[in-house]
Amino acid sequence: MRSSGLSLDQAPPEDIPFRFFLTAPVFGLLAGSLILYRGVLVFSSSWHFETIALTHLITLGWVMMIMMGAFYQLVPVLAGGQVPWIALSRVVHFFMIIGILALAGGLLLISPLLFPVAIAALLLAFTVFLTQLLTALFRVKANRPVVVAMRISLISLALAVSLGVLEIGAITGLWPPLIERSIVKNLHVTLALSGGIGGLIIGVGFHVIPMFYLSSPFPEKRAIWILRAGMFSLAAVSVMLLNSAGSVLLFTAMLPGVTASIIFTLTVWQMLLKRKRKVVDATLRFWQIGLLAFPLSLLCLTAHLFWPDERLTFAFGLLFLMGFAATITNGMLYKIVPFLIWFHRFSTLVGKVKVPLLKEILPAKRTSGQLLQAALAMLTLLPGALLQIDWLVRAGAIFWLTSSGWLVLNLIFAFRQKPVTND
Amino acid sequence: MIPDSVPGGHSIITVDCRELEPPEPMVVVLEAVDKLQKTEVLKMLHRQAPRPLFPLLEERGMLTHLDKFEDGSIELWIWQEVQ
Repeated sequence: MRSSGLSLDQAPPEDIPFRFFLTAPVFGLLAGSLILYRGVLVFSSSWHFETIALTHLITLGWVMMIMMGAFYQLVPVLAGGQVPWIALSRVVHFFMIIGILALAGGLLLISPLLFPVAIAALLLAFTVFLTQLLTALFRVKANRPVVVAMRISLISLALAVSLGVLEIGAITGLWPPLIERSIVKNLHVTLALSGGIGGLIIGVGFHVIPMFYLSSPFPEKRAIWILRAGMFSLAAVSVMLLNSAGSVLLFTAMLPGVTASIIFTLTVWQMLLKRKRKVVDATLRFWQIGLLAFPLSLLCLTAHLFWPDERLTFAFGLLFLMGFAATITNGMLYKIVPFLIWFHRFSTLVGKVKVPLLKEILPAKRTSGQLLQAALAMLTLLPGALLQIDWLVRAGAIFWLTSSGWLVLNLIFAFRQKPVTND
Repeated sequence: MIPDSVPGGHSIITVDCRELEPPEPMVVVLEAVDKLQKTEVLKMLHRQAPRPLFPLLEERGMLTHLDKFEDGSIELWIWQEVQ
């Protein structure tokens, strides 16, 4: 089979993904500071404003920042799509920061003045981002699993953001609530986490595991089945939530998606075990931790349907957000950032001067140290939140702060790598 | 089999990148491209289309032809533009 009309230099300028990537662990520092300051109180009720602030510092501040940077970078590379109005990505980044700070600040200080700022900034940032990326992805004719997964992720995010804005407006009295708050909350969480975050990580996983770890390709038919099952569950669960369905119906609706997620996890785990290069590095461990946390988080979510204990909500949140989403995005940064630095700064010098290897751009001893801190954060926060032990939660916050700070330093170290000039 | 668009009569240099980790395929191919004679054509074997490589080949004035296979693997043919 022949292919012509290949995309040429469609990659965005390096500052675009990098500004998103570097901002993520800074929000990690803010999230860690909040846990350290309030201790176990942030894990007392999922309706608590401090808990909602913490959740959004991680979901929007960490995970979404890395996802946005990755979308801008990966859509041209993995999907062959040209992202339009690329310079506007810097505006998206600026308004994301304003929006997240205003949202978290509004929730923490209970300041009605900050919520309209949060709504305006986040709506602007997401509208531009989603318009850019959906335009790029719907122009791509290929319907490969990675492209379909990215579309699912973006559409889910669009719906989740709309529901989030509806909810903030209703809480602050900007407009009356259209739907019952618990329905909006559950729909918002389902779309943002399963469709938005899960969709992108699964879709990118199909592609980057074989690319970076030299494994066999992800079986295409299985990938298509996983996406179909995920889409079915997402739609079915949304309909069930809107109709206030009971636990058994919700469980039935979730089942195909949960099964697909477990099949994805087992397939990737197997691919990593059978990879051609048996090198063990921090990125591999980040993936493995994420792949362990993912099914465990789903187990907690499923258990919560039949045993509505708030601690299961926190176990799900910690395992999914910190254990799965933040961990895998952290690991991917360690693959993507050195590669981008090499590509933008050194690739044109190949054959002219000696170019560094990726492991020289970001040495393993730097990344493995941070991995340990991230793992310790999970191992202390999880039992701390489940057993409501304040000192364990605060210890977890210190590990999380160290991990986030370490990631900031590692990224700065990598960003400083430049070709040596002789003049 | 040599594709129709690849100039005939050239000697073929094969570079197998199927078991190399990024960015080694790019390094190996670009180093080979810099040594490529006008009478030679480079055949790169890889697990997938190396998109980031194309702007770098274009910058070096190279012509390319890509064949993709069902399993996602590719053969990329690279040769010099003859003025």
